[in-house]
Amino acid sequence: MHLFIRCLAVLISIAAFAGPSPVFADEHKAILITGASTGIGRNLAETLAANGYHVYAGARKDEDLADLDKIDNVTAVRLDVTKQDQVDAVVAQIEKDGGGLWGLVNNAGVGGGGNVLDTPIENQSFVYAVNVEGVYRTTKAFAPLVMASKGRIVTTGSIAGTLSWPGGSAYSGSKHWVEAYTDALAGEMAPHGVSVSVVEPGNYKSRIRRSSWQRAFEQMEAAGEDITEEMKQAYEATASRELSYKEPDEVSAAFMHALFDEKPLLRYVVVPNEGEQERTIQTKISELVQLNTWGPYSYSRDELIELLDAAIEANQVKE
Amino acid sequence: MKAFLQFAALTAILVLQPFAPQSAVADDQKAVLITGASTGIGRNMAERLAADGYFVYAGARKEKDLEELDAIENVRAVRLDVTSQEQVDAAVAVIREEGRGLWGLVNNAGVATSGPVADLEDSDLDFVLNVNVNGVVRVTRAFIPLIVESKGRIVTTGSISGILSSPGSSAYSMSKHAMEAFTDSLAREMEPLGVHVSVIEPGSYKSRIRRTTVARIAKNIEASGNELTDEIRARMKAAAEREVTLKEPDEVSEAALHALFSEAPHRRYMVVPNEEEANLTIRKAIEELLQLNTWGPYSYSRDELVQMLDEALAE
Repeated sequence: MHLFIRCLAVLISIAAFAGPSPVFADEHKAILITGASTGIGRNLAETLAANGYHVYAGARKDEDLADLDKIDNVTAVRLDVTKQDQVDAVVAQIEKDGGGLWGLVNNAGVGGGGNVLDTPIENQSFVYAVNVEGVYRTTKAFAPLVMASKGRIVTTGSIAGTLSWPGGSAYSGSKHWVEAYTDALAGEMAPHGVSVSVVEPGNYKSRIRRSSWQRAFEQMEAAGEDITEEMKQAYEATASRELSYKEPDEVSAAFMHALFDEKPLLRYVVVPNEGEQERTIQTKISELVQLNTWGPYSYSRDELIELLDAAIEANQVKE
Repeated sequence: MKAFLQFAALTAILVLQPFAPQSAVADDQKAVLITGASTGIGRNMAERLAADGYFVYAGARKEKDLEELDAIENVRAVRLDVTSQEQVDAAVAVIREEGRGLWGLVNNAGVATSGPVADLEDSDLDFVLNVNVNGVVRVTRAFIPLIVESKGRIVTTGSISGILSSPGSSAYSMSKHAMEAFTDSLAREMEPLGVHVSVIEPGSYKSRIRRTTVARIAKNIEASGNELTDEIRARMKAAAEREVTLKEPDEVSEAALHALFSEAPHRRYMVVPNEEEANLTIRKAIEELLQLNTWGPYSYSRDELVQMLDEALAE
């Protein structure tokens, strides 16, 4: 019965998209992307759709939904990851469509934060509500569908899952969380035949920085505070910096690998230049050294290199 | 005026305790606040610091624990549920009133939960986030001004779960991963103000956290009208039995003392009871490093990684 519905869905989809020559890939696998209206999520939605996959593109605003719906192979779905009823409604819709769900891409995320000293706890809670609890809620809800297709769960992390900087504790904290989450979930899903990965982009063009500022401005206005000239200039600087970044095409390429390659990786650091790779790897190494500093069980330099070589070898054997 | 108040407070204390037995008084009796001081690592730290002559503000939630802590010399118990802004504000006021300043803040209060992502209730995740992450940030924010005044120290109890993450441990591991990021950000935010920030990552030591977690899960099951199965009872018993066999966290307090009072505190203190846990954690850190370095055109070679390691070791 299930198979019949699926065949029917495929036929219907083919009929619906018979027009402008979509390329059909991997039996028309369906992928849900949260936060698909802009930035990395939008780029991935367009890339997947252009490659013939069926994309359920999550967004919150009517305007974005209408925009996404116009793209071939894309079904826009209203999905605020902080709202259980919207998540449940999308699960019901995808179940009803009958085409199954191969991949879940937990991409919706917000920036923001500020120095611990000056930032209200509510700002941090907001970052965690979307980047942490939103990912959690969405995964819980769609895991059964992904398990049924022995598919993939991929989360948009960040190099902030490794790096932290002044004012970045909330965002970095949430992305560090995604690292732990991916490791735990990968182990939990392995027996079900589901692969779990995290894609950790560096600085690419998106709207996340501008949105964070705009949210801060809205909060200030609501509180009757003045937005100073200095703040406006800082916003302009952020906006022009963000617009100068590379398009996230390489990020989408990593997602494609995580979603469809026979041997997906657990982690994909995707950065636009060597500098960001260097900072990320250096930070990880410093952290390793810091962990190894205290106490009677510290390893010597040579022992660390032995452990490194053993890990390199183990990874190559796996491949 | 402030110096006068401080002097007055000091005099008052001397007057109030004229016949108290002579106790070790270290470093002009620097004062340290420890959250979650009723049991486990927090309690061990409180007792150790007090025995070494420091003044300890020991945070706890229950009346019985507060009374018990108050009975320890050099300890003043403060009612402090880190999820309650009101109690946090009240604790700031108490410490301000006492006039001894605050040299150190130890963010130690923490809870655990367990269960795979697929089964864990949203409310469990909320609870862990609220205590282990929001609680730490709430308390830190509130006490930063006092710590900045004394150019003191902020230390957080992380865990080797800040590096490790196993199936079923997601909520706890995630919260402790967040503490790694929090520590790195805060350290650099506080540096210009002369405050050092560290994280202590204990392995498995004797505490009550596992028993408390199982008891809370059992309570939730009963509250939802379900019965405790024999399996759950057996798991509770096993958790309790295992926990009491673990090593006392004396070494963890040792690391806390270093982070609080050494002239050159470290950023991270991984403290484990045996080599296996050290090996597990360091190997995981190395594996993650390699995973980060696998994809894309900028991957480093083995020799480049070794060179970067040597540079980091030389720092």
